[in-house]
Amino acid sequence: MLYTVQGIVLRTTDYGEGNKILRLLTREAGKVGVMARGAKKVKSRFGAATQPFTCGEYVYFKSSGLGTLSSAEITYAHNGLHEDLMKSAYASYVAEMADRMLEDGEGSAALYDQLAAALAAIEDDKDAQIVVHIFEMQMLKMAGYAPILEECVSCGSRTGPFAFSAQLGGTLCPLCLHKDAQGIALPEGALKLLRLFTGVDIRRLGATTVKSETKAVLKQCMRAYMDAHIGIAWKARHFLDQMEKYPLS
Amino acid sequence: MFYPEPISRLIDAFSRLPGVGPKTAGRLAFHVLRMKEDDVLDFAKALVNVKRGLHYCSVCCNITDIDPCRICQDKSRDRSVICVVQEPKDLVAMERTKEFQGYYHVLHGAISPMEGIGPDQIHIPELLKRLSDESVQELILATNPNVEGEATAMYLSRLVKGFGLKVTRIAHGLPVGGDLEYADEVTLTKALEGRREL
Ligand SMILES: [Zn+2]
Ligand SMILES: [Zn+2]
Repeated sequence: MLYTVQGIVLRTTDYGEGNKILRLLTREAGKVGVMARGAKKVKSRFGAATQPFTCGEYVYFKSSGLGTLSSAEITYAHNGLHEDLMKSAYASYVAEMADRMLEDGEGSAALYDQLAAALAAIEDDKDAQIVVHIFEMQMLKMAGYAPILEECVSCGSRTGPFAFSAQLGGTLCPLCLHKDAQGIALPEGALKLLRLFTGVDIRRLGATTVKSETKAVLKQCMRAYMDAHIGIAWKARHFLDQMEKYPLS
Repeated sequence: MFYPEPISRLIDAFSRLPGVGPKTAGRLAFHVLRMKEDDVLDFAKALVNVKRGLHYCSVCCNITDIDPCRICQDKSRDRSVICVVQEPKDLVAMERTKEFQGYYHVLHGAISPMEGIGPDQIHIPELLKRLSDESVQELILATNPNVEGEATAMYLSRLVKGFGLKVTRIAHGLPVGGDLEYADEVTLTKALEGRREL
């Protein structure tokens, strides 16, 4: 059967002589894998449509398993993501989440729109760390692991100041704090942002200015939470860690 | 499949090589069965020796049987220039041009956020150490002219800014998206001549 979809290239792998396998998040059919024959050749008819982060209209044949790409037309190439290593790294992490947290066929039009918006926001000089955290929340919701942030995850109390427990899955009140030795102290500003992240539409994200101390807490919380509940060794995150190790002038 | 165990193990071993599918692996395995015993032994020894007898040069990170490697030991070369390449086969391609008289640094890969390949995986700490130790004045970035190679070149040019070096990038006489090892001598020589500062 022939399918025409809106897709975003999450990842490409070389296959055989000159071919590529693309993993796409599509608006209509969730995550799909398609083979692009001859995509590595210099004069490939697919051109840049098989580059990571490219948004486009993809036409493929599929009966079962892997589809075969028939044609592709770029709607948005996201060149800005390829030209800047840090942007490319954040975009890679976002794409990697969609790729590794979804099975074939999983995904939704809403998630597609959020991924497209996340890539555009990173390219557009929005705060990439914030964009990444919002997308992490979206993926966690999709996987059924969204943290509880409106009340104490242990007793239901709404009286703060709250701490964040990755293990227990959300905020802890002062009386329950002892239940997680790894609880992370959560300043009011950081809690507000975490709550905001669970509901915000990336397409509506304006310019943000978040203090670097707050960003450090957010990063610590989201990282601990992703590790506790998803437990994937993220390649792009490992890369981002190395970028911090060797500061660029 | 119901081959005797030694054969199916050999087929399995061959099919782990790049570009070898199960059919080719089967053909190769049965070919080995028909080979003379001495030839098979030589073949097996060559496989083991390439793994046991070779290591990274402690200076340039190229693969070598002696340390430092022959190029790094050659005192007649120009100490003021280091040419950075991705793979040992790229170094061989550069040497074939006979245009380059300096030393090399072999990264064994290129930066790739998507694959999680960062500076530590491509021998960049070793390169930085060389730049602070030696009388190097120019760094030629001869990584492949594709997305990862360009990203690596851009990253390196920013990383070494503090060293006050002349940093140059080989020119695009090479087909974009291709691999350095497939370029002919003329194309490579042109690319080397047309290098630019970053
Ligand atoms: Zn409580
Ligand atoms: Zn050497």
